Amino acid sequence: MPVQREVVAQLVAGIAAVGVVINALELLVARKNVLTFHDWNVLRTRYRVLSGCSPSPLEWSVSSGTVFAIAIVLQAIAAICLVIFFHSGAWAIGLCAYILAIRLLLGLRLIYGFDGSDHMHAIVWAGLLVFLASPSASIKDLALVFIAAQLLLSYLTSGIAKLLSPIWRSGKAVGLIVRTESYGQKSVSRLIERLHLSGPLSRGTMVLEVVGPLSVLMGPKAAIVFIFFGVMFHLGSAIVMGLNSFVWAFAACFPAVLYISERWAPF
Amino acid sequence: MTSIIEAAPYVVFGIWLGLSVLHQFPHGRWIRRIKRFDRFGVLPDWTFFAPTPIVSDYRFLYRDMSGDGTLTSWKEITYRNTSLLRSVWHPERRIQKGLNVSVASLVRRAIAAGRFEKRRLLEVSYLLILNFVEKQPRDFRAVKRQFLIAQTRGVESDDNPHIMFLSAFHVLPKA
Repeated sequence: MPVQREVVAQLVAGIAAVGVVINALELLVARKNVLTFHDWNVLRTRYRVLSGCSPSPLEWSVSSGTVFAIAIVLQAIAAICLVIFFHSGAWAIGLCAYILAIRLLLGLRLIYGFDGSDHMHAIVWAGLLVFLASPSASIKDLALVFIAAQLLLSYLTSGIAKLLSPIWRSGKAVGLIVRTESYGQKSVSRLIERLHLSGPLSRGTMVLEVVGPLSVLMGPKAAIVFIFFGVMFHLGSAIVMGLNSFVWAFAACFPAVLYISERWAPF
Repeated sequence: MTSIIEAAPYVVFGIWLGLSVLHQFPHGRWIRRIKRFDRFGVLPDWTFFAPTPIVSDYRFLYRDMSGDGTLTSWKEITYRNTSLLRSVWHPERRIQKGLNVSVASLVRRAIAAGRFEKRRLLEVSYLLILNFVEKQPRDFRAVKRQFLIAQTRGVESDDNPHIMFLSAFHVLPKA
């Protein structure tokens, strides 16, 4: 039975919402340190429009610690409400627009602390906003295609960049990355070294990232295999490397990948 | 009018996807110009740990000078979460990422110029690091602070830390 686009979109929203809630709570807990590091008086010099003028509403909204805290708590509440009231029409559109707006403002404020999961959240919530706002089936499909296309682009780009890298091709990359304190675990690093797993893991990552997106062309069964390995990959990256936010941001796109594979896979 | 509204998502998503593809080639002159306008961080960089993976950690140490010129010993700033809990809960990741990006930005420019130019002291990356170091705990006698950035290659590596940067003494703001 074909997957319904409404179910797909709701699943995308549900998974991404978990990411938004965790992200908001993390920011809330760490806001003092995060805002101290991202000192607005320093950062505002990047923005020519803001550096020389008196505080504008935009500047006030991103520079005040209290407003920051309220905004992200409301974003988490909005994400929960959106999952519950996904089919409520105007309310759902408003909630989605708010989640996206806060994500965009965070981009302005935390520019040096942003990562790929934040980029993917912008894509997912923009796609969902268009999905919810449009009554047209073709535009709803467009929104899901956009989300899926960005996920496939992310895998392909990452895979090709690794294929072009001598250190990745040599099989040493994963072993060296997990040896670091920032992106590794001592016990896992020892295990990888003892069992000589760096080569298979480095090459396996490249294969997943290059072949995975192409498998979507082979239809839903191949897409499910890709999704399975994709989820395992993100869970592994979260456990070993601490990339917890990528699990939710990237897994949110997988239902859209399955949807486009089911609808339009040529083979 | 209706057709324009219907066409808008195709145009917006088409441009967004197209620019996202171009943004994977960050050294292109055009994309660098466009990137300057991406204030909200919507253009992704999907290369993730490639072509050059992150194989080292940056470490930040500081020491203080009191009014009579006495120096304290170097203290390392701990800012990373290395526990297994970070697989689900990782509030420290923003600072970690921010420091990595700031140092990488300074290093990239120093390598390109062949030396660390004085004007880099006024760059956002440097000011963020300085601000971060200045906010660390201090003794009431401290009037100036110096910091260094060292690079280590993994927790179990036998390599000596590589000192990448040693700052001048910066006057501490009044507590």
